[in-house]
Amino acid sequence: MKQGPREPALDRLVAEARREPIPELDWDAVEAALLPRLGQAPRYAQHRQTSYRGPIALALAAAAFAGAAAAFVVNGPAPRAPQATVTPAPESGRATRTDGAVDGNALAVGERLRADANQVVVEHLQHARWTLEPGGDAHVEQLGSVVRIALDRGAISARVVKSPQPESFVVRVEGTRVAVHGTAFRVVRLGNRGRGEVTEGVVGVGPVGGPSFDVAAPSSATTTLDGVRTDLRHAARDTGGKNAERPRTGPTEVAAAGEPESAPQEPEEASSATPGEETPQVSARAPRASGSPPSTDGIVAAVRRCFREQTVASGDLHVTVSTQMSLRIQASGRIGEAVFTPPLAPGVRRCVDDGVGAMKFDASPDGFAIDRVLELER
Amino acid sequence: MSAATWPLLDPPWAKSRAPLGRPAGKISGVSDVSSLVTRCREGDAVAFRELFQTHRHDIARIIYRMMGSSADIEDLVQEVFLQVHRSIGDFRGDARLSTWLYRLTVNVVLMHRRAARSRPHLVGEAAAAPPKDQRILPDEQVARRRRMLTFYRIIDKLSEKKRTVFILHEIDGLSPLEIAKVVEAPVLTVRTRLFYARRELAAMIREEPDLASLVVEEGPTVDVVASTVREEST
Repeated sequence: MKQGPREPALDRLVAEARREPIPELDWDAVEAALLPRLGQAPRYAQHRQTSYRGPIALALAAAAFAGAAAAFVVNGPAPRAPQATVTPAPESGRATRTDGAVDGNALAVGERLRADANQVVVEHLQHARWTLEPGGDAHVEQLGSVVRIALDRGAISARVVKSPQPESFVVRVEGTRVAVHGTAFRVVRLGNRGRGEVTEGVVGVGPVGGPSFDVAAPSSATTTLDGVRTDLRHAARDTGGKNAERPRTGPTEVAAAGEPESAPQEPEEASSATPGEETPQVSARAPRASGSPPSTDGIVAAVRRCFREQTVASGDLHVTVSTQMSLRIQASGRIGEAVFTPPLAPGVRRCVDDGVGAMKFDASPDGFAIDRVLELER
Repeated sequence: MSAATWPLLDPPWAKSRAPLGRPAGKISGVSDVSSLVTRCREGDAVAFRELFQTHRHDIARIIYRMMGSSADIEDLVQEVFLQVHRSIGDFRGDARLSTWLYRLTVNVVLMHRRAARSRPHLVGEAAAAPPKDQRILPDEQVARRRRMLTFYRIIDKLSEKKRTVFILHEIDGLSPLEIAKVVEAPVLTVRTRLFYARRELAAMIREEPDLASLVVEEGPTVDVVASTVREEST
């Protein structure tokens, strides 16, 4: 099939590209490198430990778009789902539970939980214990050997028992899927993105139906709501011991250790931020002693300058763009990653890369991250 | 977690470590894809190895063509199979396994490219360097290699979506229907992207000094053919 008119030069290049030999890889080396990595991040291998190996806290802060979040209204309790099977959603309606403690085995697929002033704690015996933090709203999507919760608002913390299933507890936030595999982590919604902070073990984060990536403690990763990673940064390892030796932390403690703000308020804060007011969101682990790092303003100025110079606007047309800038600063002070969400126009991006590449922060032991919402004008 | 906990690292995978680059005579064939997938899900090392052996060349080829160079190809192959290992449970058999693998591969490459793009470009790309054995290549091969480098450079200027469908269709030979499944877009959208990709590339080729001779060379070829046909008809 040919699309469009025949272009002889293009066709010849295509033909040559097809004929071009593919480099033969050193498959032995690939195998040798791949094998230990499989061992580090097994997802579909059998695991026979069934006892709690440590605290697993999962917190997700997500602000569902307001209208979508509150759509389900519930008429009454739904039938119970067997613990060991995946139960289809009951057609008779979905229940809402707002009480403080729920037996997970009494839940049904489709059942909704809301935590107003008080948290809701759900326990699936021998499987998981999770907490919907105050202000949260979630519903059950799957029960049985795999418990999947859709978080529509707020935050979830969870502790999951090791099981033969490689993924026994999954939280979905819109198009992002977070699979728990013996870990403690937190995900924060920042505007149209989510950030996961892993304090123990490894979690798989990725788009629903797509490949996930591992986030290993101690680190954090930021994704769009459709699961695309926009940055990954390593946190400081100053917790005074190995991960496995950390004391178990409840949801509140985990939240306190990560972002200072309470989960349900985060989306509102993020969405209500006036674009003109740049909202510094420096990672909790970034150096704070001297306020904002000395070069941050320089970078912001460079971005603004590039936008002005590279954006074409005719006549009196006024162009305004809001974007979130996320910088990952390496220990050396160099910028390891600069992500803009939504992305900058290619010309602006190239200009920023050229300008930012020459900048360097002061060295710090573990590097740090800077997030800023920028309003760019031309 | 100890390595011994995971059957994937246990025998027979660990003990029958025949080089994966060669045919594994000891491994019996698993003709049924669903059976192979099921066994992979269960942590069957032999099944995963067979999956790896069966599809690694296809995956390497896609990566190479989408990257336009051999840089990072081994790392990306590993990354793809890590994703396969991790996500095989998500494969529900709605599409062919090869389509699912293509999708996984495309996503891994795109994520890699996005990450690379987000990094400040402080040094020149190694991929732009001439091949090491350039001196011993015949002139035509050198010229062809140079054309390919230029071609991939201009392909790189396409948007991500157009570049993906162009490479999958024009260079790798997938049908628009297959591509639609890979990129999870309607077939019509795929065809539209192909149309515009070709049009943009043709325009860029005409503007590209390194390919100017090719445009001149290929132009008269059509005329010659046409005139030959006319001569034969008379």
